[in-house]
Amino acid sequence: MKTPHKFARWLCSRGQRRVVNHEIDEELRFHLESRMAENIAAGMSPEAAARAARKQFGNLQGIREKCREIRGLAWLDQLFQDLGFGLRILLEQPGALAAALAALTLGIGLVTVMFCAINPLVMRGLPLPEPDRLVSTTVPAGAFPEFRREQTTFAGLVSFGDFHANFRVAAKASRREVCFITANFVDVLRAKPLLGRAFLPGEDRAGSAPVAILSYKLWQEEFQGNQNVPGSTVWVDGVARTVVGVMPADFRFPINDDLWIASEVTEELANRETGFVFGRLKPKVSRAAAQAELNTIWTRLQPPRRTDQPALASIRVGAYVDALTGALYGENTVGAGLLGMLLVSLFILFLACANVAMLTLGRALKRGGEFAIRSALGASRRRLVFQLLAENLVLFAAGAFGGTLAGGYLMHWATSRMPSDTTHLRLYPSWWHFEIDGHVLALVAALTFVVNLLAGLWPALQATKRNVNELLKGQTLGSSHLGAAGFQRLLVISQVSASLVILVGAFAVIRQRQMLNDVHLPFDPKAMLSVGVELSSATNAGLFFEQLDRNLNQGQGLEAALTSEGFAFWHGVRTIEIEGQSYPREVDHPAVTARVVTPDYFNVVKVKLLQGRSFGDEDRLGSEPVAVVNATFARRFLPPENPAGLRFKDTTDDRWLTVVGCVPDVLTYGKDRREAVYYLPMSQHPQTGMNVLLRGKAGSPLSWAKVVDAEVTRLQPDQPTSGAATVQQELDGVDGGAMDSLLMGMCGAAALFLAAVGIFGLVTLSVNQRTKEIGIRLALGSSKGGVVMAVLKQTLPQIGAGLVVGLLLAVALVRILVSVLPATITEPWVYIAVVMVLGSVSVTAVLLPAIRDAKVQPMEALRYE
Amino acid sequence: MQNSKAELLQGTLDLLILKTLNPGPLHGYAIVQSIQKRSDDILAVEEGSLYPALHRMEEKGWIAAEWGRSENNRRAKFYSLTRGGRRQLEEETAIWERVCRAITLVLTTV
Repeated sequence: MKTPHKFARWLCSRGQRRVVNHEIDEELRFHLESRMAENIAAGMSPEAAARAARKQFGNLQGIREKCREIRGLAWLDQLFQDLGFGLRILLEQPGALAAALAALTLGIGLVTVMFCAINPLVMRGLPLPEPDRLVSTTVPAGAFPEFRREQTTFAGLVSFGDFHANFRVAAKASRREVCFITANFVDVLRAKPLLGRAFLPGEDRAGSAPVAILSYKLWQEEFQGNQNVPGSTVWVDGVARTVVGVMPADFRFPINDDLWIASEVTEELANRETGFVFGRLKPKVSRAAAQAELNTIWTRLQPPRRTDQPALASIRVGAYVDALTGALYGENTVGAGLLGMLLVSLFILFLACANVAMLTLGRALKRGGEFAIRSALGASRRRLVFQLLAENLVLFAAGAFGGTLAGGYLMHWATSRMPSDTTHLRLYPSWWHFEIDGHVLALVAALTFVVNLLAGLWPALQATKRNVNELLKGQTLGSSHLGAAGFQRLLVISQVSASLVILVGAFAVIRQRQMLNDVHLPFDPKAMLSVGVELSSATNAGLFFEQLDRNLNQGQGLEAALTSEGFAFWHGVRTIEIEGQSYPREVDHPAVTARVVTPDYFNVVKVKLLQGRSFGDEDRLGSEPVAVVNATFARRFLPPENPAGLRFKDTTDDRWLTVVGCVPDVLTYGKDRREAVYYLPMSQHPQTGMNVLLRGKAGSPLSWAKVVDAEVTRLQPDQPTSGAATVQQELDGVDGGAMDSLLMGMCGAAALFLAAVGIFGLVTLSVNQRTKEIGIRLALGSSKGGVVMAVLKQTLPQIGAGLVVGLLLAVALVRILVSVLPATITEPWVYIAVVMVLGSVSVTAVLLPAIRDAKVQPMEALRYE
Repeated sequence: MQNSKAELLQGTLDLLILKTLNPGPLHGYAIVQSIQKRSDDILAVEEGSLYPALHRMEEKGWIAAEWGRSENNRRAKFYSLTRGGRRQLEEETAIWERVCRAITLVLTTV
């Protein structure tokens, strides 16, 4: 009850503590001296008087401690004392200190990075008022008006569709992220425009005056922050729109937007790129209640269903970020990936802790004598354990400090390598900040405290368990001490197995990246540039791109081809119908991927035809519609004896396509999935947007991008290009893959390092404990080799056990990885390689201290204690 | 001589200290002497245990401490009863008397 009060006084009296202690001493001294004076007066000699006074008084030290305990929060005093002592002890062994610090910095640093990465997803709400009440839903955009009219659980419901558009103020055109959104969005998000006003109700209806709101970024870039911008005109995909307002700097909602256009969002519009329906719940309405209401509306809206039609999925309501991570649709790949990485980093931290535990145990055992004397003098076991924990806390605090610094630096470096939001490669909203904030710090601090207990408690208990008498008799360091020895064995096994799991995981991820980047690409992705050109209207699009293709291939020293998507991104999923096959139900039609290309495409990406021919000048609009298919397509759908000549068609198109050629599988979806793909000639399928792929003989990809810019401008002055990036950059952007392999690589290296250091330290410790035994062996004529063998014999079974346990865990881990990552290695040689590497590193770590110890002179070893 | 001394009953030290301090402030050594003298040297206060008790009672607010000068002009810590201490003394005296009566009753009835 009185503790807060005591604590306050303790804080105030920190300076007076000395005074208080001094007063207690003085009071007790006064008593003793008074008693002594009386004894002398009674005729005793001064020595006898003093002795009698002391005897009558009792345990002076104990009473003094008791008084101090009563006077203040003694444990806090003790803590400070212990911390200071811990620091001195640690500084006495700089080598071990450095190793432990490095291990902890590594472990805590990696965990910090992972916390930072996960933070925006789980910990932090949106930078908007009452973010908990903002929810995303799976309401279909097409049915949005009905839902909005009938719902009663939301204060407001917003629908939007994001896509890229050509944006122009005066002459300069650019590609921008444009959000078509219902007029109420500023109110629902509870934001306030920086300049001008939000949309008015009704401004999103078809036929009302076209208006737009600018983001702060766009305002700065295009209007240089001109205050009079409301009222100006901007062109979005050729349509003139009046700017009514500017939003504040950090406002980029719903995802990453540059400007907002008031529009009732139709299904077509919402489906175009990204979009979902979100809303703000009314106060005291739960997500479950809102979801129930939306589903009631949904059931009412649906027409009676035929039995062969699949039931429509029910409406789900989730946190706002769930729509961005995919959790809302039951496919939280972002979260799963990050969770996996977090687990790996925790594993590493666990390894680091095992190292520190080993260090603590070694230190504690060495100080057996000191502890024995202290406990003989009345220090309780609790006090000793507490002191060891406090010493560890010094170490962990330093590790946490270093780890947080390192993690912050790493995070900064990593985010600076992520694609900037001017490209379409950015995969997370700009308002996610991967930085160390209060949440992360609190988590790291809490974790540090917990792992300190984990790593410190067991060795501290072990080291203080021993019998005082035994210790004072000089039986100090013995490996015979069962608890400690068992603990060491457990440490070796767990270190080896944890390292093995992490190494296999790291191998798996890195190997996956390698397969994506190197194995399946017939060209150098770093020397292949990709630039997007999206026309505002379909009129003359075919002509424009054919002209562009011709110009780029003429006399520029460039090889160019046009494709309907960026190399790594495929959107064109079609359902097809093979001639002669019957499909009783809609869903029976195979879904495949289509890509529109110019005739040079296969040459530029260095794909050799397997059979038949490529596209040529003979494939014109009006001539026989043709297609080239990839190997998987041919295998799945075409008769092997004669693939060419077969016909199929897109279910949304009337034209039957004749297969004229077959090419090998190349990377699709930026991943290693072998998908069925067919290619169409651009001449027969004109598109409004194409991607230029080009390779030059001289100059950098950046200089080629300028050539494309110049050619596009020459053909159509106000036409922008977008997303100029090498194919390598595109691939790196897919799923943040480069970051994955980088982090996993670091985790793997860290694990190997920690395992090596840990095993080295453990073996050193146990060999040191056995110095006497080794001395006796040597004195009795054992050879040095025999001593080394004895150490090996003792340690090898533990390493072996660690490898076996690790292998089992690793197999389980890879199973999980396979379900999360699109392509993961399952080849046995990876396991063999990892076991070999880890095994040899472990054995080396055993041999080094063993050999060193075998070199000592027998006499020296025997005199050691 | 040792054997003739009685061990203090658990919890009675506080009561003795309170009673001893009732007439006026005393330092720790004087409290010990006073208890011994008044009990005809029968009650042996283990001297050391007095001080933790004093500090605890000070924490509880029953007694207050002040540094002053002893008989032979040395710095000593004097304890005196507070108002709370007086109330505590009354309560504990009452409890003690009741317990004594009860024990006497048990001992005298066969």
